[in-house]
Order: sequence, then C-alpha cells, then structure tokens
Amino acid sequence: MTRPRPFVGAVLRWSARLVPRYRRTEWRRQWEAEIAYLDRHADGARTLRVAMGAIRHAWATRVEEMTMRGWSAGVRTTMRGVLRRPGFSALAVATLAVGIGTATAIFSLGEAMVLRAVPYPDGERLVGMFSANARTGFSSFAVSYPDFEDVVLESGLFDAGSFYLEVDQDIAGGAEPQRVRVARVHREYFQTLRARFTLGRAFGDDDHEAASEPTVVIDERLWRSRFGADSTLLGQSIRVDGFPHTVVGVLEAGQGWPSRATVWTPLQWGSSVPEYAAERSNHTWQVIGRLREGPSVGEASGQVREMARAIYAGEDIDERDIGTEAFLLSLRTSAGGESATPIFLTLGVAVTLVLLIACMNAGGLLLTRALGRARELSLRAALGAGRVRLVGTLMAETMVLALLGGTAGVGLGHVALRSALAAAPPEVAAAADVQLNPTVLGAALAVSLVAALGAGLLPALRATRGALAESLKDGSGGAGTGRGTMRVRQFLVTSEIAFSVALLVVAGMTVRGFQRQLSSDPGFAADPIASFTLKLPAARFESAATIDGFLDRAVEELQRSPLIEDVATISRLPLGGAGASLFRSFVEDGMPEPPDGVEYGALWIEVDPGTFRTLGASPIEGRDVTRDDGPDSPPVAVVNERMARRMAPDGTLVGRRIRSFYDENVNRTVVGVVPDLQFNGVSRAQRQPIVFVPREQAARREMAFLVRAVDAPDQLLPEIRRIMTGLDGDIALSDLQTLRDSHAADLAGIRFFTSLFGAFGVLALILAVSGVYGLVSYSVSLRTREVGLRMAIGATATDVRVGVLRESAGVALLGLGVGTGLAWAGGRVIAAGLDGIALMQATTFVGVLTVLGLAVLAATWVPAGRATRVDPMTALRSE
Amino acid sequence: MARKALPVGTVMVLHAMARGHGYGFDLLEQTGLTSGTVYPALDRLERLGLARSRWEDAEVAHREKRPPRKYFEITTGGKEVLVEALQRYKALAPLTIDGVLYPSDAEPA
Repeated sequence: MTRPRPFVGAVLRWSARLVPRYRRTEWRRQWEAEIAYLDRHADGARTLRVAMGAIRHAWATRVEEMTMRGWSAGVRTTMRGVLRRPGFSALAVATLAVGIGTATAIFSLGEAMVLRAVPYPDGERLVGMFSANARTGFSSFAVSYPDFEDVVLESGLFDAGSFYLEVDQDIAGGAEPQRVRVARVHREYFQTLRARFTLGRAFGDDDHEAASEPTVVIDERLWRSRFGADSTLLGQSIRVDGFPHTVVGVLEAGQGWPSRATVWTPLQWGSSVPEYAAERSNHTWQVIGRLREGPSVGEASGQVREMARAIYAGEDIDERDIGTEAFLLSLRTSAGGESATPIFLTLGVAVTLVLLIACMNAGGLLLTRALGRARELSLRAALGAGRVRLVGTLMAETMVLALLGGTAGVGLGHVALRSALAAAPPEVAAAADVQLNPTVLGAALAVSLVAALGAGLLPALRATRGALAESLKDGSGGAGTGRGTMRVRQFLVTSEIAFSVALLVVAGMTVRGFQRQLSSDPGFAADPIASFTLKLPAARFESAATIDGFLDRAVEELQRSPLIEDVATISRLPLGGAGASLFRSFVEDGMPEPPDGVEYGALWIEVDPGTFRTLGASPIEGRDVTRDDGPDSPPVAVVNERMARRMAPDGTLVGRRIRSFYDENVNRTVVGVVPDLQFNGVSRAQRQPIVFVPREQAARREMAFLVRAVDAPDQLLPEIRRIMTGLDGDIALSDLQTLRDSHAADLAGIRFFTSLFGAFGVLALILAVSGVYGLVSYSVSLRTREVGLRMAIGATATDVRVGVLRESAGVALLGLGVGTGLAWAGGRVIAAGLDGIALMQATTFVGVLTVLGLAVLAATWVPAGRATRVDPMTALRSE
Repeated sequence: MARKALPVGTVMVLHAMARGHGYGFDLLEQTGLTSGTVYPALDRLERLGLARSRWEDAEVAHREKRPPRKYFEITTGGKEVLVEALQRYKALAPLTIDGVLYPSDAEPA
C-alpha cells in the first residue's frame, strides 16, 4: 500500500474537514486512490499540484451542501433554537437592546449638543483661528489684526477669511427698543461661510467704506418676530445703538452660526485700518477662515503655529506677547463650547462602558447557553452533523439574537432620546433638532454584533470540540465545568465586575458633583432680588459724566418706589448672570511685572456704594465703596476673600496698592475685603478672585441693576419696567428677572445632566448587578453535582456554602480590585476634565463596591443554598 | 429542456468521459484541466445524473497493490447534454481546443 507523502497527506486531512461529514469517508477514499496512482506514475511536483486541487474540491462539496439544503433547513433550525428558550432569548435581546439603545441615544444627544453640524457647504474646511500663550497660561484667546493679515490673507493656506466682534447693543424701530447681540463683521464674512440669505444680500466692499451710510443684516427669526416678516423692510432704516442703519439683507435662520448674533453690521475701516485695531498686541478679533483644498485642519494648524512662532520671535513684540502662538480648530469643534466638551467626553466613556457591560452580559448569557447545550450538540455531532455546521448553527442563532437586540435597541434609543429631550431644558432641546445619529447607531450595532458573535463563537467552538462521546457518556460534568471553560467564565466574571465598578463610579462621581452644584450656596440671599441690564447708546452717552448721571438718576428713581428696598448697579450679575466678564491681571505696587514678577488674575467688576448692601453682604475687613470714591478722588478697590488670600497669604491686603498693569495701569488702594460671592455660573462653581472698583472711577455704558424688593420680587418686575420707561423710553432693559429665576435657568442645564446621568447610573446599576448576578449564579449552579457529591459523603450545608463562597470571593475580589484601579484612574482623568463638576469621593467607591459585593454574595449564596437542599442522588444525576 | 448551461470545463470532462476515460487522474491528463476543476465537475455531473460512478472491485485493486479507485461513466442523459453542449460551444470555436470539443459527426469550423 502506497502512502501519500506527509505534506500531501496533511493537505488531504485538512481539506477533508470541509467535506460534509456524511460524504467524508468516500471523499477521502477517492483522493487516496488518486494520490496512490500519482505516486507511481507522476513526479512529486505534479502529485503536489494535483493534491492541491483537493482543497477546491472539498470547498466545492461544502458549498454544494450549503446551497442544496443549507438555507431553508438552517433558518428552520435557527428559529427553532431561538424560540425554544423564549426566556433566555428575550433576556439576551433585552440586554443588547438596552445597551445599544441607551448608548446611541445618549451619544446622539451629546454629539448634537457638542459637535453640531456645520450648516454651510464644505463646512469641514471652515476653521476658527485662536491665539494661545503658554507662558501666561491663556490657552485660547482672540487674534490681532496683523496676525489675521499674515496668516489668513497672505499665507496661501486659505481660500477666504474674515473676522468679527460681538457686542450687545439696542435696536430701535418697529417695536419698543430691544437689546440684541450684534456682530460687527469684517469684509467677506458671509462669503467665507457661504451663508444663505432669505432676502437681500450680504455686505459688499462698499458697505465697509467709512464714508458710506451704515447698513445692517438681520436674522430671519428677528425679522419674523420683530418686523412681522415684512418683505418691504429691505431699504428701510432701523436704529442700531442709536444710529440709523439701512437693512440690506435677511439672513436665513441658523446661518449666523457660529456667532450668536441676530444683527450684523459691517466694520467700516475705509481704506486704512484704525490704529488701535492694527496693533499686533490687540488680540480682539474672532477669526474664521475657509481652508484651501489640500492640507487637513491639523496640518494647516501646524503651519499656522510655525508662522505665529516666527512672528512673535521677531523684533518690536510687546513684552506680554512673548511666547504667543496661534492655532486653528475646525469650526465644528471650536463652536461647541468648552463647557460641554468634558461632559460629553464623560458621557462617551460612560456610554462605552454600558455598551461593554451589555455585550458582556449578552456574552455571558450565550456562553451559559452554549455550554448548557453541550449534550444536544454532541448528539447532533454523533448523528453526522459536522463541526462547521454545528458552529454555524450556534452562530446563526447568536446572529438572530444580536439582530433582534439591535432592532429593539434602535426603537429603544428613539424612545429614550424623545423622553430625554422632553425633559431637557429649552436651551438643550433647542440646541439641536436631535435625531439618532446614524453613524453612532451603526457603530453601536456593529460593536454589539461583533461582541455577540465573539461571545457566541467561543462557546460554540468549545462546546463542539471533540466532545462527542465523552459528553454523552459523562452526562453532565462536561458541560461548563472543564478547566478551560472555567477559566473563560472566571475571566468573564472578573472583567464584568471590573467594568461595572468603573462605570458605576464614573456615574456616581458625576451625579454627586452635579448634586453638589445644585445645592451650592451663592453666599447671599438671592430670593428677594431682581435684576436687569441695559446698555446706554453711544450716540447719546459719550462722556463718563452723562453715563454716571443717568445711572445715578435711575438708582434714585427706583429707590423712591415703595416696593423697593435697595438698588445698586454692578457691571456683572452674580450667579453667572448677564453682564461683562473682564478678566485682568494685577501686580502689587512696587513689585516687578512679569516676566520677572508674579501676576494675579482676577475678575474685574464695577460696583456702587450700595451694591454689597443690596446683595446682603458686608465687608469682613476694611470698608465698602462709598460716595466719596468719585472720579476725582484717589483710586480704590475692594477685593474678595480669595483675592486677598492669594496676594497676601499671611498679612492683610487692605492699605496696599495693586495695579492691573496690562490694562488700566493705575495703582488702586485696597480699602476692603468682602466675602466670596458666587459670580460664576454653576458650570464653573469654583469661586474666582475678584477686584471690585467704584463705578464712578471706571464708567461704562453697559451696566446691570440689582433691585432688592421690600416684599415679593414678582410684583417688582412691572414696577421696574414702568419706572425705567418713564426715565427714558428708548433704552432697552434686558434680562429683567429675579435672581432666583436666572439662577434656576443657569441650573437647568446642570439639572438636566444630573438627571441624565442619574438615569444612566440606575441603568448601569441594573445592568451591572444583573450581569454579575447572572454569571456568578450560573457558575455556582453548574456545581450542583459536585455539591451533591460532597453532601453525600457527609459535608454539611454550611461547609458547602462557605467553600463555594470562598471561591466566588476570590474571583470577585480580583474583579473589584481591578475595577477600583480602573475607576480610580478614569476618575482622576474625568475629575480633571470636569473641573469642579465630578467629585472623587471615597463614599462613591465604598457604595459601589458594597453594592457589587452584595450582588456577588447573593449570586453565590442563593444557588449554593439551592444546591445543598437538593437530594444528593438527584444532584448526582443532574445536568 | 431548460437547464443551466454547463461550464466549459465540465463539458470537457464529460467529453473525455464519453471517449472512455473513467477515473480522476486519467481525466486530468485527457483534459489538461487542474484537479481543482475536474473533481468538483465530476461531483456535479453525478449529481445532475449525467454521469454515474462505481467503486472498483477491491480484489482487483488489491492484486495491483493500490487502493480501489472510483470509476465514472457517462449516462444516456449525459450523452444528450454533451451533444447539445458541443453544438453550443461550436460558436466559441476559436476559444476551444482543436479536435477535443467537437462531436465526431460535426464539421470543424
């Protein structure tokens, strides 16, 4: 008998595996005969060549098998398999659905809020340009005109570019005056964006000439709400900041993005740029640009950075600009706002973890299921089903479950998104016409499909591996108790626990952080206080004297009302309310300025003598601002506690002189220290250093009023409006509301995220606990037979329970330990990103570990107890 | 008979079989096709009833000190299909191998 050479033999053996089992013997006989003949009559190379044909032949038999009877029979078997255990199938489908649904919904929501789509053609080429200076610690600020010229107009990187500056101004004409956000735009602004107009046109070069009559473009929504969608408005004149402007265009709704303006006016520089604007050190302008085809945003940004370095390494650079750089961000990213990004990232991490846990739960279920079917599979194998076919069947069932889960997940995601949006505060809901994001949905589906298939494949291969006779013979022991499957299961349990810890800690941290912000104490009684802001038109209020005159008169008039207890002005409302945020750097008089000395950054707020009294606060050291601190008296300042501690950690700052050396450059004597009041919004709860200066020493046309009611602040609002209109009907009041309401509006976003994360945390808790419980209890129940054996030879129920518990504890502790590490590392990242929002707290860790630990305990205790109560003989026979 | 046209390789195998060549290696030699084409073609022919197979008598094989071989022969149905197929492939004459694919009573192009 001639034997095929070893390699040829191996080819035949391996190919034969592909051949349907019932044809395999004959197939091999046929090939062996051929090879035997070849061995005699042909050379080795030819034999090998012919033998390679066996692979194709075997494959052809497999394909034939599948096409002949594969599909219909396969589908029938699959559906039978899925429906035979409806509880299991429903559970697997539900697990996947919850994972996919919530992950997609939350991700879509976050994405819509943070990374809104750019509403212009080729929007991905649109970028914003920013300055940064690592030396002074400012990571993102506006751009100077010369930088714009050098980088955007002359580098050749851009097709077009422009810039704008936003201000709040009053418009008049039509209805009563109204405060709006006005963007003053440079040439080519709308052309750079390729914005669409409902009516009229964009600004042309003529509009930017200093000599021409001012023109204005308004937003479609303003056009509808204020001018009743009057199409004859074009060519008519409206007043902006007191000056007449001719309306030349109505911009389509939404086309103003990324500016938040509703009115646009052309910057009129004529043929030359005004001196102040042309300075290299005047970083004022919000620059946008449209990149030329070619380099990516990242590459272009790299080039821009190099250019800026070269510029700021040159001569004649202002000292404070040393080290200034520039960079580009796609508008899509940069316009989303900084505050939302870390929240979004946290959501992303949490969503990924939920998806992961859902997949692991499904995987655990499938594993359990496949191992439980070892006997059935062995039987089918014995009856002639090939391994490929068996695995195929199992995989097909998994696939059906995964697809059902995916479909249900899409539905669930839709419902979840709708209900989240229904509960969202208006600014979140309005922020986006949110739909389930198809990309995210696709990704979630793909991930869970792959995970489910992976989870299905492993046990399928295991369960079908040569188990044949042993499994039948052995009855039960083989199913899931083999060393290999045990390792897989332990790995699964460990990682499930670990991920659950990480997820729950992240969710818990965030919820706790949000909760703390919701309950934070502003440092004063906000309740009986109403506030509003106004901006005095430049046309009528030029000098400091006229401004202060009007403000003083307004305070006096308001004070006279019997409903009002106290009135004061302030340049910026507390609790993140309206007003100007000026951030200035200070040095103490006599100390060197940077780079040699240290600068202290602080918020710059202008106040009245009565401001702190109105807020219900009083100086804790020194004195308040008084009437005597007028424009001609020595410059003074009051600082908050934080600023005092920063600049004078050991002594007192009162009596010392500080100077905002970049800006005002006037030495001010610190005359008092007030408590830390909360001026920032809740999203940045940390209290900053603040320097308060008397309003009359730093006149400004834009001010806010604080009005303390004698009684209920609600009746106050019409009263204020009446008095102010009587004083000057052409000045618009903005943000007229109680501080409590403005605070609540500020909190609404946080409240929404708190409940979102809260719901998310509950979901994660359910998923994690049920997953851990399921896996552990299944592992334990597999040992029913062993328990029976032990009981039969005299072990007590307690012995058994303790023994089983000890083993579970090992796996659980490992999982909890790894999870704690993961959570700690992740928590630090998130806490750093969500400055002041996420809180790393030991209680969160302890809580999470306790809950999961209890879940493991219960998952072990209950089935172990059940096993001990089973009659030993039944247990021994059980499967 | 509305039957899917046989691929040319399968027709070649059938043709060789009609001329009396009966087992795998012989058919490889006769058609010059690869083993990866010939063996699946044999399976297909058998499934379609155009060929039948039998295992060689074990004693014969034993006498010649080799494993028994699987022999194929063309069926009546196979012959009909072959003639039909060769009419069809006649149109493709330039692509075929001379003298192999034409039935004996057909005129070479």
